[in-house]
Amino acid sequence: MARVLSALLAGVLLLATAPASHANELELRVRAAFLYNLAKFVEWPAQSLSSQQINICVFQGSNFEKVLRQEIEGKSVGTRVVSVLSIQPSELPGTCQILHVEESLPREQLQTLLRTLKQQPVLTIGHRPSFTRDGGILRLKSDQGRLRFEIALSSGRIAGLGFSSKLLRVAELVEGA
Amino acid sequence: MSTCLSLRVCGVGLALWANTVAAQAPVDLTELSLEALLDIQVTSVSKRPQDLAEAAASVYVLSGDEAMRSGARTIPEALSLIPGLHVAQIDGQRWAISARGFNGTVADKLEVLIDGRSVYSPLFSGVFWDAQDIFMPDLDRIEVIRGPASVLWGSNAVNGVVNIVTKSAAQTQGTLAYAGGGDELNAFAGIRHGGQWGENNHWRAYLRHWQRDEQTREDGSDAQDSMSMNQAGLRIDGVTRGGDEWLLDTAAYANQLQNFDPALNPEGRDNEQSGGHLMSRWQRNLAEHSVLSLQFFWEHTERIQQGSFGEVRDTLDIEMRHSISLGERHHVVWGLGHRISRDEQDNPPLIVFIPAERTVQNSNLFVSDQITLNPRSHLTLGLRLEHNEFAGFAIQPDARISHIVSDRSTIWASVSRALRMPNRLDSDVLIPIPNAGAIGNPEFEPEELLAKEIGLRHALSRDLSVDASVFHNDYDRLRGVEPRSPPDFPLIVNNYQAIASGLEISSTYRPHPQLALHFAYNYLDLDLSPSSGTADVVTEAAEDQAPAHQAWLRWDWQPSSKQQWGGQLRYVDDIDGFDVDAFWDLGLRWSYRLHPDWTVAVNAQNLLQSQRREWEIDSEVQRSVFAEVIWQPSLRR
Repeated sequence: MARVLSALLAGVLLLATAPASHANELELRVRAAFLYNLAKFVEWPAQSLSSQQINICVFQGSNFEKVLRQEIEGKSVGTRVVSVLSIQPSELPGTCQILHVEESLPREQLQTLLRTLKQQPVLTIGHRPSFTRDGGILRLKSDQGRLRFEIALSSGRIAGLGFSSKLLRVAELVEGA
Repeated sequence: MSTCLSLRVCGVGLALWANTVAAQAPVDLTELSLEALLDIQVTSVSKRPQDLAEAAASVYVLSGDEAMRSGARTIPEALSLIPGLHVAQIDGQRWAISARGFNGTVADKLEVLIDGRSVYSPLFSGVFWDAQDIFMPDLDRIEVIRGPASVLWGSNAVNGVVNIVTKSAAQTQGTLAYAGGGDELNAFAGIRHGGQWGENNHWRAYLRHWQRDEQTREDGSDAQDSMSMNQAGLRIDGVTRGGDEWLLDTAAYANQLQNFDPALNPEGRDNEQSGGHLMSRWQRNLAEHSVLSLQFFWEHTERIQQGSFGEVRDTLDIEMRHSISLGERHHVVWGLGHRISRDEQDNPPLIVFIPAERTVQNSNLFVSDQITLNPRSHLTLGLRLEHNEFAGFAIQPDARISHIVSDRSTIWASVSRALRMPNRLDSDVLIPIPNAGAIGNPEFEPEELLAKEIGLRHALSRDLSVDASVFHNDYDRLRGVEPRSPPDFPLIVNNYQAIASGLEISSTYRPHPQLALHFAYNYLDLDLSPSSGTADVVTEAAEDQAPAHQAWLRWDWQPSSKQQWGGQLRYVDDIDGFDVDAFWDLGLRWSYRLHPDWTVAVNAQNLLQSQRREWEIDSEVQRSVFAEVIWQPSLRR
């Protein structure tokens, strides 16, 4: 599968004719690469960060987990290495620097999770239109097929996160919770 | 938002090819810059199905950033950066733009779209370039397909398609203003503001103005062809609760153009152009892999060329398109379209259209099927059926195949039949000059092209990619003028054939993350020949009106995040038919970000000659410089 996919990528324009399932995976790959960029352009409070790794957490069993592992696990960001952790939705993602919340997580559960994580140095990433209003920090969306993202700066600051201007330049800034 | 996924992949393909790494596998997306990553996009959202057909075709994409960083401030200037197009400035107002030959003031074999709205004039199937403009900083990209693409893009796409796409309103939030001036581009200014309401609705509005000085004649006197343009526009992009995407786009312009022709316009009154459009598009995902879109636009234009031409025109165009995956192997795109265009001609004595008022209707039905033969090979079969008031029913078939040879290279081939459908200039015109004039022919048939093309895309290394294609175009029933003995005027007829063949190579080299070099070369051999029995010897001249060689070198160097150097060198071979010498054209741009919100830039154009003629008319492009200030306060809420 991965081979076929790479071949298709190599085909550049031919990609158009690939069945949609490949595309789906490709979209996930773009998201994964974006998360890698976040690891580069977001600053966590020094005390919350281990010296060796940056942990990106996803919920167990999601498709995204597999793609994250293929695409960015083990890549280095400065002196640290990206590590992908899969957690249970009920677990407290205390060791995560980045938490990606699946689209499928029910809103109430999401709200509870975000409330718990408020003031924790965890960059929460979600998809729901209400994500930033519910206290999430970064919302992924797409605009005419391109990846776009919103950042709720206020929520980010409460969490103690710093964002590089490089990131903010291309972000849409929105009101937080 | 629910755009078709397979298209995204295509978007990625194009974006990667044009802007970042070349085709190489596996492409490591994490090596892309943040901007490049966010640039991975759906190409031609409005014309979604076309992307699929583009797979096996010669495509070039120039991003809006690249255009801005090269100092292009109008659409024709941006097009001159694109390999495969021949862009000649006729005078201070007009441009001749074509691909693969047959250029001229009434070049009629190119489909041109701005945000999915076809902008060629139904009068003569060509584009009034002086009336087409956009708020340049909001340009997202220009995609050029060389060669026929009629099935999905329409009957005018005989020699190519120019697809101009602006950014969505969501991507143009906040304020951007610019102002500047120079010795040729005397003064220009523009302001745009974008905002949002609700969760998913964005808008932007803009105002712009520019005025250009007159060019110079060969003897150094003023060519009296200055021009000014004013434009305002509004665009809204939204998503409904149900996930439907919609778009509303409207703009209006009013231009003033100097005209001093003692014979036609003794009082020296200005030419005037004004117009506007209203466009709307709506798209819904009916099911997974099934997308329906509806588009409608209305356009109103008025042109007064003192003493020679005057027209008021209204065009209404509606199109439905459905793309659907059938099983694992077939991806079908089909659609219907209808266009009504009504015009009213002033009919000054020099060129007359009979009748002076006419409503012309066109309908079309098309279907295209992309068949996955195996994971490495794809075949696309397409057919367009069109009904045109002048020519009745016409069929345009198209077949394309592509094969992934290895991780680094892809080959493709295509065979297509494309038609340039008759228009009022073929059918209704009267130029009442005995012996030299012409009269239209209601029996005029479509001009026909049988095109064969092969291409290769190859990544030589991580940093160097090459795209090459070779084509052989066989034209039949081209328009000519059959001499007749007075009192009959010479008659417009289908009396010419032509063979055009050529080679097109383009390449991108990124030796360093901050430096990109784009190189391209084109060769064109155009040979026209009269059909047997015609006495027309004039039409053959078209073969000497296309440069045989063209070359481009464009660079973009960002030594720091604040500073950028851009430039381009272009070679255009001589045009014997008009006695135009071959020339090298050099343009340079330097920009500097003084402050996060403020950028200043200096642009120098046509540096290598003090003046040069690019087309038939005695009006020469001059060396020029302009400076500008751009203010874009960062969004803070």
